[in-house]
Amino acid sequence: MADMVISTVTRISGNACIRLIRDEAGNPREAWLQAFGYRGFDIMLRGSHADNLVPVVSRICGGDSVFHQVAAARAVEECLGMEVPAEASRVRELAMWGQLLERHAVSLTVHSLPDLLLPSSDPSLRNIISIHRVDEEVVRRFMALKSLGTLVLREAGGKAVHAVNVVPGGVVRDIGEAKRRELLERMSEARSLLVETARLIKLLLRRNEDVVDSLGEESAPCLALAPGDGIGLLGGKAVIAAGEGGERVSLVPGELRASIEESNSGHSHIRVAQIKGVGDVLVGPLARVNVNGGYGSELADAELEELKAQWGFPFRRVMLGHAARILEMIHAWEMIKGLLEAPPGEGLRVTATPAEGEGTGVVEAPEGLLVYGLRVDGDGLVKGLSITAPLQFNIGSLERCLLEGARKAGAGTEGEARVSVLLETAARSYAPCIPCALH
Amino acid sequence: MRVAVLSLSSCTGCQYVLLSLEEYFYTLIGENAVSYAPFLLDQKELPEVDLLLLEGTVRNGDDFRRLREARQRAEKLVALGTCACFGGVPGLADMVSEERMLRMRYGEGATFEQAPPGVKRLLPVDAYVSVDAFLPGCPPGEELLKDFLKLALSGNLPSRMGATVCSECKVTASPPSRDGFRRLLSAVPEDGKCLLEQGFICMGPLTRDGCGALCPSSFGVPCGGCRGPCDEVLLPPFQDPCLETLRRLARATGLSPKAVGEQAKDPAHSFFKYCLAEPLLRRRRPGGTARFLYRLGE
Amino acid sequence: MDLAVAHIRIDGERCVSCRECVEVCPQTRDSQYPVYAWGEDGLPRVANPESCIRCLSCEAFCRARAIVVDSEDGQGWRMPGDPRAETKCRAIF
Ligand code: SF4
Ligand code: SF4
Ligand code: SF4
Ligand code: SF4
Ligand code: SF4
Repeated sequence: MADMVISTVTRISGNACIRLIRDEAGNPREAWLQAFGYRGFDIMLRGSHADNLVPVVSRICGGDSVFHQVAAARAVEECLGMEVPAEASRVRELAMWGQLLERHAVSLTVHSLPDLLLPSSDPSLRNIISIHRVDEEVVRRFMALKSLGTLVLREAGGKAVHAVNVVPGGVVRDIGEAKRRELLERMSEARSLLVETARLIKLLLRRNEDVVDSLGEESAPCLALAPGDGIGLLGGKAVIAAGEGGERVSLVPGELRASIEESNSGHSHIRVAQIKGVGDVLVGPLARVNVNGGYGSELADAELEELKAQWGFPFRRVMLGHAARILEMIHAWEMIKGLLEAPPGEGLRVTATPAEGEGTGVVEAPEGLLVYGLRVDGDGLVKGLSITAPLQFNIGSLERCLLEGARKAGAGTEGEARVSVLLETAARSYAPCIPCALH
Repeated sequence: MRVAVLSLSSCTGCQYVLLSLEEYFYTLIGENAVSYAPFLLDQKELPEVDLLLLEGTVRNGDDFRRLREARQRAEKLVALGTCACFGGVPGLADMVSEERMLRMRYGEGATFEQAPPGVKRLLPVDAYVSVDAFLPGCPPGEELLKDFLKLALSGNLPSRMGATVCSECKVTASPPSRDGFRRLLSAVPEDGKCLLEQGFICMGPLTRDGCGALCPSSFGVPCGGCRGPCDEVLLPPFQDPCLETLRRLARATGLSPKAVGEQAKDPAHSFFKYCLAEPLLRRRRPGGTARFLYRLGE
Repeated sequence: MDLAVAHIRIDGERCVSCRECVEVCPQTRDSQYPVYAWGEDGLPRVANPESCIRCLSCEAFCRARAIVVDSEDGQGWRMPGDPRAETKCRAIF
């Protein structure tokens, strides 16, 4: 039977298609997420000065730009042994939490909410523009969360997309006192909105329990940074945790990079990343909460308890990623508030003379671990660069989930339209970032 | 108006700005029929539209097919972002041939059966099809995009008399500090003073205005040139971003242009970060980007 | 601030005081009647417009596009470039 192709998958970041390969009887044999057109950032940056590294890697992905910038900056800092001032890390973290809030808000509301809200209506109505036509308020409320993230990012990063504030060695500008207060005010207004949205997402997941179940469970070990006191985006060791009570492996950034194994998948330009000796791992919001066991902030942890009671813990159903996203938004909100309230410190950036060196930069991007490996020569020029993006880790899990979904929906026996809707919903529950994976 | 947003090979950053227009975004979707935007809608086929915002560059046959389709079905085609206008940052990939890139990334002998054929040379979209308006910027600022859309959606495609980033810059440029050629990694610039005069590579003099000189004025970091080359680079007197910046740096530092050039070891990344793929800059005597690009057929 | 004198127009808002116009003008350096003089406020002033030979160096070298030297017939100086470049430049916002 001919392949079923969804081209292109809509309501995700970037261009990709889903290909379902079926046997004679129409039973799905394999499911692929295909994306072509790698851009070669790691190769074209060879020979570039470390100064140009940060603005260039930013252009890998607009939605995750600050994460690429910080990961690259950290790699340079490790190469040259630079000690970033605490205040600079704080501004960076603010920008990162801001972008995480924005990014999750877009994945949840613009991309996935229509599926949850209108599961059985016509696909042409499943989008925020149609919802806006019927109920303006709903869309405005959801977009307010995105605006909040954008606002924080713009203040901390200088620009909402492709920030200019991050440089190797720190940041250039602090957030002024007046701006801080203004931001805090805006933050406190958002509390009820976040709680309400969390309630809604939880309700919608319960209502769509059949979909949640039909997308199956993911049993691969989870990989995330574990800073020790909840979920953080920077610092700490990377921990691989296999199930409840399973063994945990801790890796410092250098070890993590050394144990990443990339291979070609043959059907897509996205390279598959695995961990040596472990195989496939899951990264992202679900992995982060599974590894750390909690968020480390009051409101998010309270919500988490409720979720644990309902779905069991650790979370295995992939679609619970959406729940993890909204809880992470609440956590981000609390982190931003904390970072804004803390008294400003001293020093924003340090400088360094170029020297030969090797370094790793690891950050938690919204959809999972982002790993940079860098070598520079005595002039500060890039000699070697490797980038591993979240989707490269998750692609194995995503394709398993697509296949599972297709099997459950009984491709070949039922209408293709229904299958294709389910497959797209499945892909969206990973919020795959194609531009990052095709770096 | 019937509006569509299409992205080829891109970072999706320009679409994020569309979502960040706040109040204007609702006006946009309320007063116009947004009929195709894979980022937002499930519509899979591009219908006939009046205005199409195109983001990104052509990287393979598939992108080209979509671009051609876009041209056929759109009354007005707008190149949104520096990628579409001048090739943007991804254009730096032109320093390495496509085969070599494939080999370096995926190893010897890697094949992708279903992959559409890659392009031999990265080019801005107006090298493939005619484009009705350009809005460069990486990404274009919210205000700039809003101003553009307001005019474009009322039926007039706007253009503006371009000046340079320096003309919006709030710094003062004299006297030069004579500290020699410096880079941001190893030196902290003084606030409120022109970065070029302090010996940093600032592309302000050769970059189109429109961003309010955000980087040098508000952040004290050099302009990288994300709004793309200004008219004087593309038209007579054909200033070359590399030679011209080296000349100015030489003037500021008291060194010879050659000496500065020897210290700036990554000319392609420093001076042509956003426009290496622009064919209008390729064959210039002296200067031009041809010397940084791999030679076709090698 | 508009500092136009005769056929030389300087836009004081755009000027960043780099002094390049004063340095490149062949009729200012070592000239008895220099076209440009440097103002107290850090902006160039047109002192002797009649010395100008309309070589356009100042206009071309000004990084802020702050100087416009009008041509004698008022038609503008722009030399034609590549037609593709011209079409493109006309359409850029
Ligand atoms: S112009 Fe810049 S922001 Fe826009 S798609 Fe290209 S890289 Fe991204
Ligand atoms: S800092 Fe850059 S943009 Fe500003 S005046 Fe100097 S060269 Fe121009
Ligand atoms: S100053 Fe230069 S790099 Fe910064 S936003 Fe403006 S054009 Fe872009
Ligand atoms: S046109 Fe030539 S002579 Fe006249 S002011 Fe300018 S540089 Fe001097
Ligand atoms: S060259 Fe332009 S920016 Fe520089 S001082 Fe003269 S008018 Fe001002």
